[in-house]
Amino acid sequence: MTEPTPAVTPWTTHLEAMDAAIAGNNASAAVLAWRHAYAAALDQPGWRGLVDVAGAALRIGTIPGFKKAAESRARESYWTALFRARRQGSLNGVLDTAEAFGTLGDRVMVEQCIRIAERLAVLTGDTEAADRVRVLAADLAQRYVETDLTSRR
Amino acid sequence: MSDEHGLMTSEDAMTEPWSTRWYTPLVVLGVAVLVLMVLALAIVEVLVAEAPSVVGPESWTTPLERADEALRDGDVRQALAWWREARSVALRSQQWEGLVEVGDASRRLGARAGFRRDGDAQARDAYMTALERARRQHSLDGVLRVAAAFGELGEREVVVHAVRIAEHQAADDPRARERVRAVADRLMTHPLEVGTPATIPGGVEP
Repeated sequence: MTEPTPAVTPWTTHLEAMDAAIAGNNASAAVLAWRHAYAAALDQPGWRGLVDVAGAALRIGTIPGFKKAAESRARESYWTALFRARRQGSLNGVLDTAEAFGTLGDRVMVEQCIRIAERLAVLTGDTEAADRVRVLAADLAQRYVETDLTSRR
Repeated sequence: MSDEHGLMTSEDAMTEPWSTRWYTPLVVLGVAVLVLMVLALAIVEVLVAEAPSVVGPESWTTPLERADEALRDGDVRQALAWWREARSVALRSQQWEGLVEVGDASRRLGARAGFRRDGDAQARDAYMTALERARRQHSLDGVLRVAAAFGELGEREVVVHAVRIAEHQAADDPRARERVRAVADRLMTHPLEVGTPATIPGGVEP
């Protein structure tokens, strides 16, 4: 369910520098590298870069004291990625961000993504795509929405 | 004799307990200062990471003004460089206001420099990030301001999404609910022309 990403993207080197900085416990260098990667992803039209960069933000969150801020940056990046995917009619993009929001525990956004995916599938008129979305949406809903509701009871 | 004395002194020093040696307090003090410094640095690191950056509006308005000036002078490349600077600061600020202004500026630049489509696309990204921040910060002004901006771009679906967030935020406040309804009515029934400045009744001005 993922679209191929070119081996080297404008944000790749920045994310490599970020990972190296995290490994070296250099938090400020990691954040700086992430910002460069984010800017590079924003400057490209697709959604994939923003999903990659959002995931990278979560890696910065493993540094003590950075979890909250890193999750906020990841969430913002996923929002933008979702919006771009919707505009570009990319079911993969919408479902990828749904998965990401689910991992972040954002049930509301998972539901929103599912709604968008269902509408996109209808718009494309592709019955196979619609069936695929139905299956994946049910799986997402089961894992992130229903599980969350059950645990609240 | 001197050798013996020297040997004796050395042996004495080797058998003397650490606690009674003259330099022990200095070593302990040095280690304590080092530990305190490391702890202080760790605490500063954590505080800097968690605390929102204090970035004033001038941090992004100044480069945006320069971008407009450069555009007036016909220097599109310089205008874009200033716009990027403003975007970078606004992203770091953790506030929604800067991103809304960056989005507005992106549309202005795109329209005047002949790349409206790209300008609008960059504006959408900035507005979307602003919407997420406004939602997280429970800022009704922010959500409605972004809703108006998306309305200007003709993004009806996002306007509906933003209005839902605003309704949720205004749930317990009748006056706020009224504001949301007024904005929703305006945005849903009378789509704004592209380029119309956004104003929110009772809200912040762009």
